[in-house]
Parts: sequence; C-alpha cells; structure tokens
Amino acid sequence: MDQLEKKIRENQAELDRIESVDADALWQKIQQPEARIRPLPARSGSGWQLQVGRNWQLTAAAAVLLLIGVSIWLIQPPGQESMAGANLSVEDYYPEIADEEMAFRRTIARKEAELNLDGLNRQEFIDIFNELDELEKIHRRQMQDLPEVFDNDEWVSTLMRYYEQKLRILERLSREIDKQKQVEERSRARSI
Amino acid sequence: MGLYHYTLNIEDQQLIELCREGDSAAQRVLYDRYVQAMYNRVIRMVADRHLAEDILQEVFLKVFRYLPSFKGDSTIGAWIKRIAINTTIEHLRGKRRIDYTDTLPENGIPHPASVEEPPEVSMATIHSAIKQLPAGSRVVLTLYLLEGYQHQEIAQILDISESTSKTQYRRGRQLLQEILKSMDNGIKGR
Repeated sequence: MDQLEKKIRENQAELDRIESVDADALWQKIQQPEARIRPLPARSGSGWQLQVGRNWQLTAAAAVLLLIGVSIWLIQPPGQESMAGANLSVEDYYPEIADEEMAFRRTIARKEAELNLDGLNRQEFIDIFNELDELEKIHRRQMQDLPEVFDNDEWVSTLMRYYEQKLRILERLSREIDKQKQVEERSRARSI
Repeated sequence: MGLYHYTLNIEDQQLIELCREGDSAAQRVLYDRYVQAMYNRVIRMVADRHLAEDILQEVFLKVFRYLPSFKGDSTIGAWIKRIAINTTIEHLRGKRRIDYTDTLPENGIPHPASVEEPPEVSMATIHSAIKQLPAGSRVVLTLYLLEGYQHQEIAQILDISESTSKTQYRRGRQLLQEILKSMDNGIKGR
C-alpha cells in the first residue's frame, strides 16, 4: 500500500464529510406522497387486518382494485410472468443477508463451472438433473412470491435451504461423474 | 423543545424502534445522522450531484421501507451503507454503460514502488480528484480502497474479470496521483 492509499484509508471518515447535501430539500422529496412508502409491518404477527366498516368507501374501492388485479393475473397467458418486482432482488428486502447469499451464489457458480453442466449428457444423470429442475422450479416460484412475503423470516430460511440443497445435489452429481469416470477407466484398462 | 430535538440524543437502537413504528421525527433524526456520509459515498462513485441526490432519495426510501427487516447483525450505519452502495451499483449497472475496458497496457502502469510520493494535499482535494477519474476506474477504486471490497467481489458485482478490476484500480491510483500533482502545481503556481 502506498502513502496515498494509506492516507485515504486512515482519513476515510473525514472524506465522508467533505461535501454537503441540501438535507432539507432532499427530505421534502422523500416525504412527498408519491415517493413516501410506509414502513412495512414488523415480521412477527399477522400482516392482515381488514377493518371493514371504518371507512367503507375505501374498503369497497380496495376490493374493486383487488378484483381487477386478480382478473388480470388470471387471464395472463401461462409463462408470461408479472414484471412487478422484477428488478427487486433478495438484497433489496434483506440487505443483511446479502453477503451470505452472495457467498452461496459464488460457491454454486464455481461448482457449476467445475462440473461443466451444459456439457454433460443429461440422460446419463437424468435423476439428478430432474431433481435440480424441480428445485429450480420451486425456487422460481419463491422468488415470484418475494414482494408479497418479504416480512417473513421463514422465507429467508427457505431460500438458504434452497442454496444448501442445490449445493448438495451438485456434490452428488460430482461424485456420480467421478464414479462413472472410474468405471470407464477400469473397463479401458481391462480392454488393453 | 420539539419532538425532533428530544429524539436527537437517543441511541441508534431506540431510534430504529421508533422508526419502525413510523415515527416521522425519529425517521428525520436517523436520516440526518447518515445523509451526509452517504451522500459523499454516493457522489464519489457517480460524480454527479443530481444523480447522487436521486440515488440518495431511493436509498432512504429503501431504508425506511425495509427497516422492519433489519435484524441488527451489523450496525445500522453499516446496513445503510450497504443499501447505498448496492443502490448506486444497481444504478451504474442498469442505466449507465461504463467502459471498463479502456485500460492502459500492464507495462504502461508504473509499479507502486516507482510512483512518486503524493504531494501534501487535503482530503477535500483527494475527494475532488477521485470525482475527476474516468467512471470505470473511479468505481473500482472507490469500491476497493474505500468500501473494502476485494477484486474478486468487484469483478462479480460489476460483471467484469478480476484482472480488469485490478488493472482499473492500478490505473485509477496512477491517475489520482497525476491529478493531485497537477492540482498541487496549480495551487502553488497561483
């Protein structure tokens, strides 16, 4: 590390106070109704509380909107998924697990590259590939549910279980490939 | 003394609880505690005041929205910082095409040992010099030197190779020295 790097690292706190932003103006923008998002309910307890009667006009309007939403969802052609929340990722909802998730993804990507999944003959390991497909299908469904269930601790552990399961399946595939190689080598040795 | 002033002195943990309950005075205090530091971090990466403000607005909206999911595994400051960095990267990745390939050849970048000692400059000058770097090396330099990311992680985040990240970093460091030197000469020449 040279002198400049050292100086920057040692005085980083000072570096974070150099420029000032118009905090009041920015706060006004954040407070604008179109930007303002109410805090989400805490994770524990039920998130659903419909108070019919308190303001019946609002309740009726909400019910109509809900019906329209459900109808659109029902008539959507299969395979065409809603774009709502498409740009959201797990780290948007749970920034505190982002590192852990990134580590899992990295390990899985490394393992997949090592196994050269696309180059493998699926038919030779059909059971394992079916298991992987099934796991991915479930995972995709969970990801689609993410915007609705983000306050659910259970969802996070399900996601982590998905990564663990995937790694275990990939490990199994790796062992199967090794076994097959050994069989081939033995038969080659016998034929010599 | 208003509610805001009362809230000013309370600890982060209590503040978080109040924010979770939707207490707007507490939200404003939390915002005031971190807005300047986050602004400096964001603007160093994007080098554009308006863009930095837009990103910061998004950052704090996310902070208040996702505060109920904050488990307290890290400090609230570290959590907000991560949201700020992620939102900035997301923005840089999605809306702006940054050229990370405008690299100098390896032999065109001096070895750290051969680089001259930096002139005695203030942190404000360094901040300004970082903002003058080309986008690619500015983002990599900020992530590596100031945010503590490793080249492997930067490569993954920015979808570039690890060696490109290293080259961009070396290039950024060299350019930074040059910019600081020219700024120093400018000051002395006055």
